[in-house]
Amino acid sequence: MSNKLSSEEEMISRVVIRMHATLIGVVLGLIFGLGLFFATIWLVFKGGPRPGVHLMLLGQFFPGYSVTFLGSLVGFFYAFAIGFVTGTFLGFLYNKFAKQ
Amino acid sequence: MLDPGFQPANMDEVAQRTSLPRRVVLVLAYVNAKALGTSLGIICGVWLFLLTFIPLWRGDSQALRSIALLSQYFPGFRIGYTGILVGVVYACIAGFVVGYLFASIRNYLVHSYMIFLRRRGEQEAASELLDHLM
Repeated sequence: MSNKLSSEEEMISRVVIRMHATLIGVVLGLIFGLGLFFATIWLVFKGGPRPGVHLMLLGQFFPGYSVTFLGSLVGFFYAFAIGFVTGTFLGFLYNKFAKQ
Repeated sequence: MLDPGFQPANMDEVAQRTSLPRRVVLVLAYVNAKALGTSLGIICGVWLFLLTFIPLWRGDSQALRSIALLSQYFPGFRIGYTGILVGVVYACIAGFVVGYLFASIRNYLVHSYMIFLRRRGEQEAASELLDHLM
């Protein structure tokens, strides 16, 4: 039993994955969006005198975002948009470079 | 690791020649590490440029103070047009390293998994043969 690949395995490992740019965008958008949504909601439910002093700094880049329930929804849309743009661009660039 | 004379293959053709379903070939296929690293490097560079340039252009000192904290990880990064360039270079390198490592580790794990599957198949075939003989 060797660690070398058989001819069939070698053939498979020569197939280069192509990304579905829009799908990568949606997945990354959901990860970013839900990540920020739950990070905000967690701090809202935890409460305290000044909940989310560090997370609220995101409001400097996301106008309308705050560490409140409404802010978590606003943050979800912003983070989704950023994740979507990043993922789509990533898929597009990867496909371009992988083709060369 | 791939040999220097690597020639990419067509997925449909490989699926046909190995008589494996197209989806299986897709799962076991290889991620081009250089392509992923380069793409992620460009994206990180563009994001860092936008995140620094827009507040600088708007004169948003509060946002700039927060971004300046990146200098803790990127020595030489400062808020200013030269500092932005230094930051973009750092972000491109960091993005490339992350993308390259991710793809390389993923490829290595898939490669090992294929070897593991083959070994298991060989062992099962050998033990079946021994059961027959006994």
